[in-house]
Amino acid sequence: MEKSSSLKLFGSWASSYTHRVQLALKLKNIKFEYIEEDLSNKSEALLQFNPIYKKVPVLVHDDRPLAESVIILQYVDEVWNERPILPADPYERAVMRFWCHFADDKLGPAVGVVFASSGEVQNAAVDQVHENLALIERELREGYFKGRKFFGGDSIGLLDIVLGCGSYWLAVFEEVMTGVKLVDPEAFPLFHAWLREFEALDEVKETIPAVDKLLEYAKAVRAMLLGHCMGNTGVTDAATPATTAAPATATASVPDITVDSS
Amino acid sequence: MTSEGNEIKLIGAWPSPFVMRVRIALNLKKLGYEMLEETFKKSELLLKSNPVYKKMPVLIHDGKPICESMIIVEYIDETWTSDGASILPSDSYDRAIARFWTAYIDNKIPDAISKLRPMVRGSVEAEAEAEKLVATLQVIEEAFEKCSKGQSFFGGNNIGYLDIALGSCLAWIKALEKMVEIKILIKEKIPGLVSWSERFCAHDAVREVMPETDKMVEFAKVLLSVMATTPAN
Repeated sequence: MEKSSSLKLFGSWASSYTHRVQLALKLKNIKFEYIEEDLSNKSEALLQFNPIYKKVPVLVHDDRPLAESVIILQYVDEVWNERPILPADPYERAVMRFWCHFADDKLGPAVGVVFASSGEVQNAAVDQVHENLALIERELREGYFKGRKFFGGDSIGLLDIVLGCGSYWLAVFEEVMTGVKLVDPEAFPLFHAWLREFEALDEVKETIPAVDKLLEYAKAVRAMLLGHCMGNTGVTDAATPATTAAPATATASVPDITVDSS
Repeated sequence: MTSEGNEIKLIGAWPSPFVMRVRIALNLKKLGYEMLEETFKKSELLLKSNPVYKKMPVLIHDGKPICESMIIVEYIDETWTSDGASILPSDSYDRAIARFWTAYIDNKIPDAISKLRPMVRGSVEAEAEAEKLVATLQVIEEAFEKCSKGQSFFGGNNIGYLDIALGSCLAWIKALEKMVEIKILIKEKIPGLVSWSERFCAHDAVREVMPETDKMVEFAKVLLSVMATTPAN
């Protein structure tokens, strides 16, 4: 029976959470139908498939929907077990799950705040990002991941996918916000080296949008966010590439880059 | 009984729902372990074993630490496969659904508990916050109907991953009902969950690690006074 007989992925082109799933499906050579969502005008289908969070990515396999990227990745790995992305050993799995949790619980949100703020708030968030990266750097240098090319070993696995699809934003943000240094190769040499290896992979290059597209998008969102923070209203029309960034708080409204579109 | 060469230690504290999750999982697998009880001052071992979050629970299995309660539960399920029942569902889709609702619970319930804990009994504020928590539980009630498929627990005939995730919060929920004079486990609003909660608390693997409500209320008072005098850590 064709396992991918009905496999759909609802996503957004700039969403790192969507990229995670696209990358995993690509690594496993699984065919699927991709549906691009306009996050400022979400489809009925998306709202029906993910009523709780109303976010992308959503995977629909044989009409059964799943949300939350890390949950989707584990499901995909279990159903299509060619080219595994989780290790077999329970302890390794626990370590990978822990750092995936850390990435989405701590690192991602801190990066989101950096992007959505300025001044003192941004400085504090940059410090947070550095603290978080330092923890990962330590594991690479002398801890659990010592000596590994990728977190998954010789080839990329769950944690590489989770950290990697998201970390490319770091360089983009540094370009957009001059003076903000997020991944200094001197401070985080091993993390920096890993990220370069990750980005050099064919499957990754085919999944992540070109840097100039990301830059254009990031600049527009940053301008909109800062304009909004300074009290301007009416900037959130559908023509803006910014997506669900319209309402409320800075952290919650950063599109795709933090927990918002997971 | 632990199998030969298996040394299990658990860094935790009896009031913590996160620690309780691990203890229930260990009980389901009939595993013996050494409980290393934490006090308000964090032990060196905890700080060393969980340098990232500095929080309990931490499971130490043959000297190797595992952190994050539901990750520990999954680790226990994957490591001891022949002892006791399976904790996660066997079907991949059901497993994903269990993980989804567990994440939802962890997004909502611990925060709700923290918010309610210091509130004044019978206050408008407390009522409003309690209503929000009930609304969250109503969403979970729907999930319960779907997951249980008419059986006693989210996991079916026996308690599983999602039962553990939610059930561990019951000690605080019941304590808050008493302390803050609010109603959360309302039969008219969440009938399935109310019945489920009684079955959960009565379960062999749960009974001895679920603290009595009065004990929790007493602890809450101590906790609140400690929090009032100590800077956040």
